Amino acid sequence: MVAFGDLGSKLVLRSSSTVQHPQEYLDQLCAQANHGFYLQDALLEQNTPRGHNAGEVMVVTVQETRIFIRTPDADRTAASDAILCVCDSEQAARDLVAPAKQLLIDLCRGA
Amino acid sequence: MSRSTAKTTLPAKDATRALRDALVRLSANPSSLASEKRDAAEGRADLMQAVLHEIDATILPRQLTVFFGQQAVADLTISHRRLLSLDLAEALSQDPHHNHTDQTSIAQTYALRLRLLASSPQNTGFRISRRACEITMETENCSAKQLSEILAPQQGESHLTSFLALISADANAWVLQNEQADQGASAGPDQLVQQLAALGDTDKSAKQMRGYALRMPDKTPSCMVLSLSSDIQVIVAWDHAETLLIALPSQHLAAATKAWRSIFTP
Repeated sequence: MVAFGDLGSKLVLRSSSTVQHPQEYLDQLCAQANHGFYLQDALLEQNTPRGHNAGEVMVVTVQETRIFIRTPDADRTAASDAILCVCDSEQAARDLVAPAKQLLIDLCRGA
Repeated sequence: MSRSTAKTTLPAKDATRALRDALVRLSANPSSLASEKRDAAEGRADLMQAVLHEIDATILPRQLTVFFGQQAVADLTISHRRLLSLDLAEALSQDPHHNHTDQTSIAQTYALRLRLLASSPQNTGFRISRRACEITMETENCSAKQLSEILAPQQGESHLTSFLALISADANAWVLQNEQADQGASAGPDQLVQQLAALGDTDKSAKQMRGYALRMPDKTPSCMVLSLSSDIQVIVAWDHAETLLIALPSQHLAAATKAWRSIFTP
């Protein structure tokens, strides 16, 4: 499954998947991404100097791997777009990071 | 950490048990041994128990190869009931450059590899081939009992504690927090431990403030992977009232998440 969401409002705006997911699942997925990036920013704020920009957060469950990719250079102060993917394997999830980041960059440039 | 030339003296009780087991096996009906092999090949045997049994029953130096179908997936060297080496095929290891460090017990390293092997999809089953081999070098080793102690959950041990036992040797630092206990446990450099503890507190307060469920978006266990730097990843794992935060080198991440799955898969 792949979805496009807004981390600020924690809402999924568009999604595509082989099976139909209820909107509640999609919104909770977006809330999980929001929480993940909140933790990611909190972790990096403790680092001095701060130079590493983590644009993705991964969640592993027994059944699936979720990867959340956000707009590069986003932080908690900015409303940001994110791509949320649910994959069968971690490798499949990692393979999506680079193209998803590029897509978000293209979207930013086009805006 | 054990370092010996395999001239290990067994305690009398263990020696008696080993001798009894060997005699039982030697006197077994050949058809029952064939039945054991058939059970393994047809997926009715427990691979981990089979390997532990082979380690415990092998006195003379032997190289064992584990096959899934026609594919060799692991090589083990055993002598005097001690495991001298355990190498996984690259497709299984996901961590081919991993060598244990001074802080790593060789038993922990082999236990993790054995768990990765046992949790890999076998399709139909497995078989183990044996052949005589030479052992020329003194090498670090461990017993089946040491492996079992790491692999088997201790009484009252939580899933996260079992997970930690498997991967703590690879971690730069870790913090285990429990909502029902005043003090958690931790290991590693102070600064990193403080960072992980602060992250755990941030997670807890954010969930309380925002009303997040502990495990979103479903009720199944999960763990989250964050990035501390380009080289260091942080795993945050939740289970019931416990939160485990682990900082570890990026190259160990795949093995760690696979170990997590092996613990939490029903």
